[in-house]
Amino acid sequence: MGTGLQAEQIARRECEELYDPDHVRVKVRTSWKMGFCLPDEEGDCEETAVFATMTFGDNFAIEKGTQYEVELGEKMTGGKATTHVTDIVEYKRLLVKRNLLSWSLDIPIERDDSGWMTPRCYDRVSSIPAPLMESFVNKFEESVEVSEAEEQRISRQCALLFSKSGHGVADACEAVSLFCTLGNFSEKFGISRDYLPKMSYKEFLLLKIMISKESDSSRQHSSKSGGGALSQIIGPGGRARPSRGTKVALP
Amino acid sequence: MAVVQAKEQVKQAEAAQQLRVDEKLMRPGKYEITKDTTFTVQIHAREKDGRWVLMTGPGKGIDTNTVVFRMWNYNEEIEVRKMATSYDAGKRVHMIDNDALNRFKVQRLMVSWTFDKDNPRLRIQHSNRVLTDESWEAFTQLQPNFISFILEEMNKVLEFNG
Repeated sequence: MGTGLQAEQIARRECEELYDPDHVRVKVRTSWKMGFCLPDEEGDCEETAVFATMTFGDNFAIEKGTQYEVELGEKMTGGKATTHVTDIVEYKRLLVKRNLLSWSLDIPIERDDSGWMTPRCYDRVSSIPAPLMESFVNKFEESVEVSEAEEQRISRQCALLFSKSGHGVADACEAVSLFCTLGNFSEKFGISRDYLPKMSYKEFLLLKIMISKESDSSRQHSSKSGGGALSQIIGPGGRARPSRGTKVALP
Repeated sequence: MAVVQAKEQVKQAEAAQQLRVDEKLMRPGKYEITKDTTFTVQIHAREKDGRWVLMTGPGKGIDTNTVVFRMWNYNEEIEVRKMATSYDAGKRVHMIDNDALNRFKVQRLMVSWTFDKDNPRLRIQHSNRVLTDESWEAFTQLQPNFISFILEEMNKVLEFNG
């Protein structure tokens, strides 16, 4: 468990993400060494950069721009074949041009009408020490990436969640929580991701309880109707009752 | 004869891209890297049995040499990494050739050294701000322990924030 100060920092960061989902604020601790500003976890300065949240469209456009063709070996394909690969280094450059909005450094960020950084501005922006910009970009990428551990956790929880006997998962990961909460609230009440953070928490709790009760109830119904024994015994009067045995017509 | 003229809009866009005189004269900001933004690697060595052994600091009978590197900016880093990165179609991953990366760093960022003070053959020369092939050859002629030490100290600053 973190200290009170850490808890407040985490809460502040989460609030920023919830109420300002279009921006990602990245903070890097720095110190001045040998005359230039370098990242330093124990440094006494702090620099901030604000990036536009990476959208599907941004990623699609940048990937398209940085893709190149690679020939696959004949051993792999049995003939000549090619595949498209993203140039991950060039991707980082375009990411800065597309998504870096502002920062605490003394270089103003200028954008053209299409939202891209102007070439003249990029010339100055890219002239800062590479390790400092790398730190900003890496921290921004952390907000986008799904780690391998996270993906494994999603797989494990989904195996439980979507199994026939699944009754939900304890300590749901971000993906499961988002999927269930947003899915349910959007489907039932048309509440979008933009509105959900502003909703009264009591209303949210009440509706969540109701959704959970409804889900339990429908599960019980389905187990009564089709989820029980696969075979039935037809008794007098044509009424059926469940049986573990095979279907036998009684006289 | 037809006279070809640029459209007015294009001219305006070009004008917008041109720096104003006061902006041209403005000094770089405190975060910007210039060609004078350098750092120095010091090598202390003592001759023993015909070989040079690295020492931790200056002292009696110890030779001290320096190598000056330029700090790289983000654009240069991107260019250099691109040159050293290739795609392995078999493993479906991007591979960075660290030897090539170190070579490009030395070729582009090394400014000067003192190894040429007694030996003009080791003089460092640049062409288009890149080390000439002869100068790179001279670098590779150093003892391997010197080269490893210089690369390690250079990477401490360039990759591991000093």
